[in-house]
Amino acid sequence: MWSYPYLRHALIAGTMVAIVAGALGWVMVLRRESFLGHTLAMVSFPGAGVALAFGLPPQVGYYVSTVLAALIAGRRGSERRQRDAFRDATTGTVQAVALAAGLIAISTTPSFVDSTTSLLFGSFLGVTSTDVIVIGIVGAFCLLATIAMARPLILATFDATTAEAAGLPVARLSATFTFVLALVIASTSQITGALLVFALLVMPATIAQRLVTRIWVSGAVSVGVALAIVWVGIGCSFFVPVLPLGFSITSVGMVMFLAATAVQLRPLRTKVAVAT
Amino acid sequence: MTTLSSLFSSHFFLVALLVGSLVSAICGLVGTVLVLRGELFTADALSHVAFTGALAAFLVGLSTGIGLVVSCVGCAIGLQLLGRRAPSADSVIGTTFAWILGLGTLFLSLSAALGNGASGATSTAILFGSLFSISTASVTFTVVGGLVVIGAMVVLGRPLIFSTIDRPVAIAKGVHVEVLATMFSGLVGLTAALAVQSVGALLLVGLLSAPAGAALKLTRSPFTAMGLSVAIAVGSVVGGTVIAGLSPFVPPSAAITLLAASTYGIVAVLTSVKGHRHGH
Repeated sequence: MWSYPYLRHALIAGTMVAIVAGALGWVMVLRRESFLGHTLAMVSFPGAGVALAFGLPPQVGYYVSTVLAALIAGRRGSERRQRDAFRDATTGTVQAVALAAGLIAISTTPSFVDSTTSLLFGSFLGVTSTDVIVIGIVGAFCLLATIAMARPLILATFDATTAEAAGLPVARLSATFTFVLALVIASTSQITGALLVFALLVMPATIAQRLVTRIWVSGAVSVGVALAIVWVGIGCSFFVPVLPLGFSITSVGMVMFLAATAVQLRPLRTKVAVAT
Repeated sequence: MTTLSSLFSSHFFLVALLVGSLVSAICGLVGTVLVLRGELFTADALSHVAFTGALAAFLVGLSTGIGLVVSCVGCAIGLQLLGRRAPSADSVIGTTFAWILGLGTLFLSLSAALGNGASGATSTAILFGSLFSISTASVTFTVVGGLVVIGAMVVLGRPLIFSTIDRPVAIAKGVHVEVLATMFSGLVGLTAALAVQSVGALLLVGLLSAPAGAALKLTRSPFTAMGLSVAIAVGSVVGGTVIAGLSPFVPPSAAITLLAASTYGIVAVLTSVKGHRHGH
């Protein structure tokens, strides 16, 4: 298994992506920004389509489009309650505009169907060594940035009023996190495809939150779960070639999610039994 | 060069206009309530479920319409029932639809492995819609389904808005909030299934969010907003279909989405300018 260079690249890139997506996805889920994260992931696909139509490498499109979308959709007003509905509507609209632009761009390229499929579902097993280096640098930067702002960010997430009273720049923290999330999504998209970045962001965090309640521990568990999902997923697709990687990875995640839900429900039942 | 008059005398174009208007009308109606309830993410999830449902139907040889309705309505109601007990509904929704989408990639690779060359084209049609090549069966299906959604929204509209805006008072007044929420989820599922055939799965969210967002910026009354949202959505579809009919380079779903989105953009800019002038 180790003698195939493409598989080594996939495993190295997958490991880096899992660590970063596990950590940032955990913050994303805590902040209840799954819709925003998903939109950024969707936007990366048309970005790549437009870049291809202009003869640029798709990577350029990934980064430009997600960062642009983060700037438009990631703004959050100070009067939160009233603005949330519009923030949702804006997020959805940004997603749709990007997809429409991507559709126009990509329908002018001759290999419409093929490139659509590979942009949406990724080419994990076509990762080059340059890709690995770029993902490593971007991932390390994003991880460090998130760790550096983790404490104030979490406070701002759980209690924006207190955070503001304590003098924290809540709006700027939120915008910075969205920007970092956009970078991670862009670097992950090129290997997992636009549609499955989101799986790596949301699944480990959801599973971790069901298993542990202590906050920093659950962040670490999320990273561990992400690694397990990626490694087992790549292994499944390698040994059973008919299974696409997207299916293997999300299925491993789903099995772990169901198991975590069962674990979470069990102590409840014993407690009820003791009480009665 | 296609002219406007030859466009309006062609059959496929009139069918596209009829189906598109009906679908956009229900998206405008349902979308307003979705935005008010903060549940747009559910619709986003359904657009992915639709992809898998349609591919599954294609794989076993059923019509995509059946696959779409079963998967979307089933999943919408399932998520509603599941999400009610979950502490953080959107991560559960996200996890579920990420897996369902993964399942879709399996169906895609299975049908390719079975030597079914049309699977790639089918998946593209589901993702991006095919307003200009709708079959007679789909037209009947859309008209019946669309009328069901409109009828249900007329009946459920008032209690639904009530329970959205002031849930505790609605419960105190004896409104069956949970039953309503489940029925509404079913309607959202049906709307998604109908819309995917014309605008496509990936652009569904745009038709649900942009007209509703624009309408809610223009008025405070939810019912006026529903009417306005329907008007903006239908307007975008008529305009978008004409543009796509005249230009061979612009797919109809893209033109419709861009029109609806620019309406929202313009309205948002105008209302914020007006807001600043009044010193808010």
